[in-house]
Amino acid sequence: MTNPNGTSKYALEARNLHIFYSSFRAVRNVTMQIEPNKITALIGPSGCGKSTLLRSFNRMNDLVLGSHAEGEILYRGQNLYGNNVDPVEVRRRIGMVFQKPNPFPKSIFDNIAYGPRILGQRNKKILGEIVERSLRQAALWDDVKDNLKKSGLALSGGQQQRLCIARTLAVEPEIILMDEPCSALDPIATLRIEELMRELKENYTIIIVTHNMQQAARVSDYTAFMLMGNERAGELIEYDQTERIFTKPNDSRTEDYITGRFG
Amino acid sequence: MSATENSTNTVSQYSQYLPDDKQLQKNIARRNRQAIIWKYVFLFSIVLAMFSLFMLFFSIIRQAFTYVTIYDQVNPATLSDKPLENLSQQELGDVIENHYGAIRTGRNDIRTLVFNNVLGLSLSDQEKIADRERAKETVTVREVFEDKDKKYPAELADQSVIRLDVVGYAALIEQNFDQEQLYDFVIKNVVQPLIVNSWTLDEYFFSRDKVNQDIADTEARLREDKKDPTIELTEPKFHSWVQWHLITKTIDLSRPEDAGLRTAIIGSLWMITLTILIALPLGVGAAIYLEEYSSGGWLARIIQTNIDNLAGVPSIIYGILGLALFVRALEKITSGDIFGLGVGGNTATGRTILSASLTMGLLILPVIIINAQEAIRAVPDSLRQASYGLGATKWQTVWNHVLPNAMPGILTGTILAISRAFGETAVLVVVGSITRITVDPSGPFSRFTVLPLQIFALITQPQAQFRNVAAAGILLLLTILLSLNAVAVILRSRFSKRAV
Repeated sequence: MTNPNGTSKYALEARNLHIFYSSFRAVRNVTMQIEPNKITALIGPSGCGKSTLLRSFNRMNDLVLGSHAEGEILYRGQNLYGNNVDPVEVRRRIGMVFQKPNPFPKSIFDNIAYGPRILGQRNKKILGEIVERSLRQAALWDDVKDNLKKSGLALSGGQQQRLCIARTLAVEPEIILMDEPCSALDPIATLRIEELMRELKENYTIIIVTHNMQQAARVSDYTAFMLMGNERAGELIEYDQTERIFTKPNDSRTEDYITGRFG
Repeated sequence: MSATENSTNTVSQYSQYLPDDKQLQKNIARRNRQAIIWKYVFLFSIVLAMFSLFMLFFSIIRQAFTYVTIYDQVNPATLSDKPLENLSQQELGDVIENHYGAIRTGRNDIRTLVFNNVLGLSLSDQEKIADRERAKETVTVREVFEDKDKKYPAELADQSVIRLDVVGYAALIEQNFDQEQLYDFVIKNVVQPLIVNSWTLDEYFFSRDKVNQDIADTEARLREDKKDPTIELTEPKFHSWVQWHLITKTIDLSRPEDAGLRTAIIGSLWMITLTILIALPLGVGAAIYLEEYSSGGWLARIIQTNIDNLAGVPSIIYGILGLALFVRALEKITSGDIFGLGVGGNTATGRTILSASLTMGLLILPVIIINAQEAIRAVPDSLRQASYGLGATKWQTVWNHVLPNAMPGILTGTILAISRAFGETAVLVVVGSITRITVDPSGPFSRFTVLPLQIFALITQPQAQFRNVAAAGILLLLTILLSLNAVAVILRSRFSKRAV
């Protein structure tokens, strides 16, 4: 990016964003500002484009053949979809945690050290420090500190997801995108991840997609409600502080959704 | 209450189309019978396959271990009163001297033996000596034998090495061999035993009449041929054709008991090694490009279709391609001429191991690509996403995650490809392997032969005993093939363990 030190009031800002898969318009005309050091939740029924929107924030959508975007996503005053922007750098600054825990089939240590390693850090001592700090931040250190050589796949589902979060933290991103991070976990593991998210927002901006409205209400500061509109394109219906969305939504469709009348 | 009634009604409505309790039992019995029939069909296939495999091994092993009778071309009893193995070095020397002294071409024969067996001179060295002698120069025994660090009697030192008499040559042989070596020399070059009959174990033990008849027939034929009514064959004895000399000696199409396959083994190993070095990186590279980089456009689809079809093209067609492209068009390169490594400038020819390996590489490339593609496709997308999500480049993702996780599958494909290439003959016949070669290949630019072709050459020999050598050769071929595959299997299990 040409302007790494650029500043902006917002962590991310989408302006008139349209996202396409080939000729199909998946997301129509989204404009929203993501507040720094807050948790922003994207909610809505299946197929409303919330995952697509989330994945466009770090250009993971580029991996889908034929996908492209119109409009702008501003990060530090720079359009992420601009011509001179390398998606590799975007993803290094805007990390991602996926729906299903996906640790690499390697040791816990190697899982976390992978990010710093691909950035060129080879020093064993520094890598060790990064691994410990990331695991502590992800509240996993006490569980695994004696067994860093164990395969990441040998952990329980909740631990695996925290390992994936620690892995993301290891490259020190500014923003963490979470795509339904708890949907494959049991309620106790879910609570631990939510707790972790509250701790992490001190240092990071978090955007989370969730199907679980209680989760959105519990952890998020802002909530965006999306819905499938004309030609099955997802649209942003309402975006406000979570408290407002869940108590006095402006749009009747939002109210119908959060009260369980559809979706 | 009404809801329950409704649902009961619905069930009864549909259940009239489904079997009632009695019918159900019959229906289940029928379906179970069907399942059992299929089970036995599958079991039969397995049994048939196992039986075929067993028969294959049985027929090969049957031919490789036989009973034989031997005809000594010179009866040992006429050479000495004592059994030959008890003779002293001196006496064995006399036997050699007497034998070669008695035959007309004896002097030439024994000189050749001295040059080949005692001195180990190459043909070109022998030519040089002959040329110098023709130029009226005397090449002395001292010069040649000291050059090769061999012993010689002092009185022969200044004589010409090619103009000695039989006594002189016999003395040279006697000086340089110990008793055991001399005994072997006498057996091989004087007694010259020939295996004239061979019977498989089952023939020998269960059809004695046939065995006796065969012996009588052979004896009668030999007595007539040699005009010697005293000829007698030895008692049948067990003979294993799987012998160490199979891998230490070169092919000898006059004596089946001495035929070795060393040249073919070395040729096969050279060929297969080069083939893998050519085809594996290319194949895996192509698979990575098609799976990870290509955007799946029409060009990629055409390439994909072609690769799939190429895997089924008969190998002879690859052979013709190899002949036209590597042997003829690229002769300068494949003969090593361009690097100054050819087998002498004017005899340069493209019929080399390199040409064969390049052609074979083309042959197995589709197999490797297709298997590597399958393996790469089987790597879960979540791993790629995780890697990209951390800011890895495409190459880092492929190198760190896709390749290691696809490795077991890639190696499986490689095993299949190696097996195919190792047993392949049609390609090599066209590209120009020669079966009567006795010079070991020394590098990619050598002429060569391979095991399957050598085995074929053995089978087509008129003398029946070569089929026994061929059977032993097949066992050798299978052994080498299984060892090669074992390496790949071990590598595969290593990678599989690492991936968990």
